[in-house]
Amino acid sequence: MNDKTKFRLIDILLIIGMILPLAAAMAVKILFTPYEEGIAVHGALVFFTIPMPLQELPIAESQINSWMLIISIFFFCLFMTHGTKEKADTKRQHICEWIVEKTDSLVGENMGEYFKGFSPFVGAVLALSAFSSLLSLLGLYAPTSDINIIAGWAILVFLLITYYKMKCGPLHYLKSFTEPVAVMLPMNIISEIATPVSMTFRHYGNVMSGSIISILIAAALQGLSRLLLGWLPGVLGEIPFLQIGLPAVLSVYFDVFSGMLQAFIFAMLTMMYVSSAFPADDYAARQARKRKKNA
Amino acid sequence: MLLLVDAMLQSLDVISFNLWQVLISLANLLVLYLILKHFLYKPIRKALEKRQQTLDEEYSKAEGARASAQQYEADWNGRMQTAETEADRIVAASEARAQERDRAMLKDAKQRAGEIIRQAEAEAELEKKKAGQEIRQNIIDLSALLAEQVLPGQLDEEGHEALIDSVIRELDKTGSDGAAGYRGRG
Repeated sequence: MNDKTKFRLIDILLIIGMILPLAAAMAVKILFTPYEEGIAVHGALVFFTIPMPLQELPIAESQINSWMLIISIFFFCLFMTHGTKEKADTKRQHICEWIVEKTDSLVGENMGEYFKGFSPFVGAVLALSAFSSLLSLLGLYAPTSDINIIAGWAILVFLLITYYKMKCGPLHYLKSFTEPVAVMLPMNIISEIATPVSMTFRHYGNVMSGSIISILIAAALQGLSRLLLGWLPGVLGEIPFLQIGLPAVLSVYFDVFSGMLQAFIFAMLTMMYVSSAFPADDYAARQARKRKKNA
Repeated sequence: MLLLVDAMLQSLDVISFNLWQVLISLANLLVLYLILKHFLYKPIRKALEKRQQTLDEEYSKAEGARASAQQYEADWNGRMQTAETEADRIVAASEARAQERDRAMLKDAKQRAGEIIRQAEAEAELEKKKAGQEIRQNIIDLSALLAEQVLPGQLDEEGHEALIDSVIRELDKTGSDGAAGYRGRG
């Protein structure tokens, strides 16, 4: 076996690795979805629950889907960087370089030189959010329409914000709550907490409401179809002809456009909040003082 | 309508907060960050850096080559200039030499022509003198012959010759006047 066929074989295995998790998620969805009549808006399907302290942990569809998505993205990365050379002569390497350079420039423009290492994180936020929303195109439950998933990301962003605020020491951080005047303390605390909450609800609400609207309109079209075309003989009367067309257009907006937009907004907000949380001037002054002391 | 209300009520349990799920999701994002960092950004950055390095090397090499080429050019230009001046000098020198030779030849030719003319003149003069003497001799002979016819036996040849010769010499001396006097007397 020569190198070329070996390379091809590994490529095929990686592609299978990309597709298989999503296919598995779809199979699980098909197997476990209970049959139901009419319309229903419900949360993620819970397969089983694990008893944990404080609260039980339900292993839900959204969780399974996001794990599968992460595995898929992992294989995608392996596939894209497979055969990376100094001289870029493959399409996939061009695409990879485009991704890396774009996120680098995005982070550089929005966060500045100090946060240069943030581009993989911003890329991860963008990829996870956008592809989670796009999973609904495969008929899967979009993890982004589960509040817990988004809340996890938002809390991670909140932790990052707090970490960078504490760069000048905990005292400096606590003092920042009483600025510009001490009376502002409760307001500052609320605004601090409001950041992850607003991020969570913005993203989750947009995706969730989109899917609810889609379901409602599909159901309404089904009813309308039965009302107008029910007189058709036999099976023809049962087919909801009016459902053809409009739900697809709505899906393009709610699943593709809205999902992408929310992913971008979430990533932008992450960058903005984290970079503005970092007190650059105070930090520089502090570092200078430290250096003086040591010298 | 009832269906819609029912759906809305159902949707309320969509918002159910679960601590563990949140933590798992947080970990998921971190894991994806690590995956992207190690399996996408790291190899690509490495390739880009390597390429940049090679590019820099190539650029510095090209810069060096250009500098040496410029030096070669300057060198060559200088050499060309000296060659040109040398050629100019050689041409000017040979021209001057040719002119010199020209002049010399002309002078020589003129001199020789002058000599030839002088010689020719001298020869002509000599010829003239000879012719004059011959004519005189003829006249003497003629007059002696005439005198013998006119006065036979009275005149011996030698005595007449001396007489006529002296008359002619006199004629020669007096020129055209002498000649007229001689005619009047005759």
